[in-house]
Amino acid sequence: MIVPLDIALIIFLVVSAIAALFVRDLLASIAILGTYTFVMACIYVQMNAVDVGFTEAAIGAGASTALMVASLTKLQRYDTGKRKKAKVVIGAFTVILLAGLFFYVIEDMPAFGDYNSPANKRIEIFEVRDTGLSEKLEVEKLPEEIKSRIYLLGYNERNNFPSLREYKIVWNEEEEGWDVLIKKNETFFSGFEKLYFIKKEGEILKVYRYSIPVRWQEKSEEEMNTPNMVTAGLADYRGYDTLGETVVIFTAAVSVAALLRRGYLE
Amino acid sequence: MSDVNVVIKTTVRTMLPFIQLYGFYVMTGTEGAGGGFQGGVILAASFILYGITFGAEKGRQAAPESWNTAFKSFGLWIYAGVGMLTILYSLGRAEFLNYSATFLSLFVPHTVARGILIADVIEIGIGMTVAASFISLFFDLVWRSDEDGRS
Amino acid sequence: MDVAEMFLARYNYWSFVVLMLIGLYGAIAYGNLVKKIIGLSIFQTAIFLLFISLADVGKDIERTLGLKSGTAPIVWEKGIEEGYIYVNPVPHVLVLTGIVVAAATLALALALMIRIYREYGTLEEDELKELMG
Repeated sequence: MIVPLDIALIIFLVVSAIAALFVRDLLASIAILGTYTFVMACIYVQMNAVDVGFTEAAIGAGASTALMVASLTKLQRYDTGKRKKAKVVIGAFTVILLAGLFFYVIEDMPAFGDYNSPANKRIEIFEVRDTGLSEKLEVEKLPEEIKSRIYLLGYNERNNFPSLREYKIVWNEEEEGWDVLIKKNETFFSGFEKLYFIKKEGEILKVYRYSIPVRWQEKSEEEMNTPNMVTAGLADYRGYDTLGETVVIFTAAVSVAALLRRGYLE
Repeated sequence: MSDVNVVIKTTVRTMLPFIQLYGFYVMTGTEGAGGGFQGGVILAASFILYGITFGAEKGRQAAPESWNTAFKSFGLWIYAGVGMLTILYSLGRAEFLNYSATFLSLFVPHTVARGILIADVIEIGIGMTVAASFISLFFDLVWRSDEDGRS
Repeated sequence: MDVAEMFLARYNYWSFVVLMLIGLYGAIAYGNLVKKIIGLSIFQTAIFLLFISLADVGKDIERTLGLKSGTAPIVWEKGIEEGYIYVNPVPHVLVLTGIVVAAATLALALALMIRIYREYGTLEEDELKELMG
């Protein structure tokens, strides 16, 4: 992620998005949309997302542009340029209102490229005073106050979270804290897996909870024998969503055939 | 006018096998970037290129509608079929689409069976459905039946 | 929060806001149906940009942790020893599904527009409102 290249590409994107809407010749408008999706694919690759960039270049800049130009041969080519004043005013008002709301929201979002943000690694649940608890953690036993507080917050068995009956506590070298490992009861692979993280800062113990990407990054190579984490997750961890997506593509092809065909084709 | 067409037609005729070979290579994308969707769209792009250069009639002859319908449904049958197979094989103990519970687990360990099923069965099924759908969509949008000249 | 932190450290969110509002304005204010579809397509790709930029890792890592920047989520043993870390692979999966569904709905919208033009002979929203009754 090279910052000056990023900013240059984003300026190109904004200019071409405005141009694609402003031009009155519809064929030129579709061609500018094609370059917009292509530069978007370049931004995805520059943000280290290679599979997504590949798909956006193939589908967005390839198939979508070809389909739009193909259907433009049966529609009119020039936009007549008539616009009602009421719609322009409503559009401008909505845009300004939403832009003002973002000023209010933006201070809660994590910074760009943050290593420890809640989406990437862990999120803080609560903090307790350290009254003799860290000695119990060093002997590898989980103190009762932390356990009961975790149950009170809602991470218990009634809400289908894994229970804390069998656990292991391991000292994590890089982050300087204690990892709490839990055994989930899965049908074929039940090993220990990281769930909570406890860190000592002065007089206070902070308790964090790990997010899902930590499990993906550590275990997808050994569980599925494929180096590509995104394809493995798409076909196995999130296989049900991919089945739905394939059905959507199939339905779109069948619906267009039902709308546009006249007669029987062999 | 026909001189320009000769250049384009010869170039397209030479490039098409390489595009299709690349599409098949990308479809089994577990060692590097790639996957079912990407490979399927590249395969469809080769047929669309043929249709653009040589006309819609010859394009529809190269990818007839009966084959498109067969491939579209067959890809979906493979995907849902593997899911049903895991339920039937373990007699109700494993969930839907749990790839460890199929016939392959008798011959190779769990992890290798999952890797083989993802790369060689599921991705090819997805690729078939996506390729046939995009070819069918393009030729439906472009087709002109000459009843009143406009379709 | 001071200006440097709000605008420079979070510039990817501001670019997402600008692109999304351009697409939304195009979908509301223009009367031609093809321009509305183009506006919606710009809107959808801006939302995917938000997801992918949330997953990126490694802007200040060289200064604070002594590691090199992030790398693509494909397992690479030699890079881990040298100090690269992986980016978050979960939003990539969601965005892949989103891109394909967006292309399918675009194709269906184009087929509907061809039928409307065949029936009524125009693609402007105001004339269509009078003709459809």
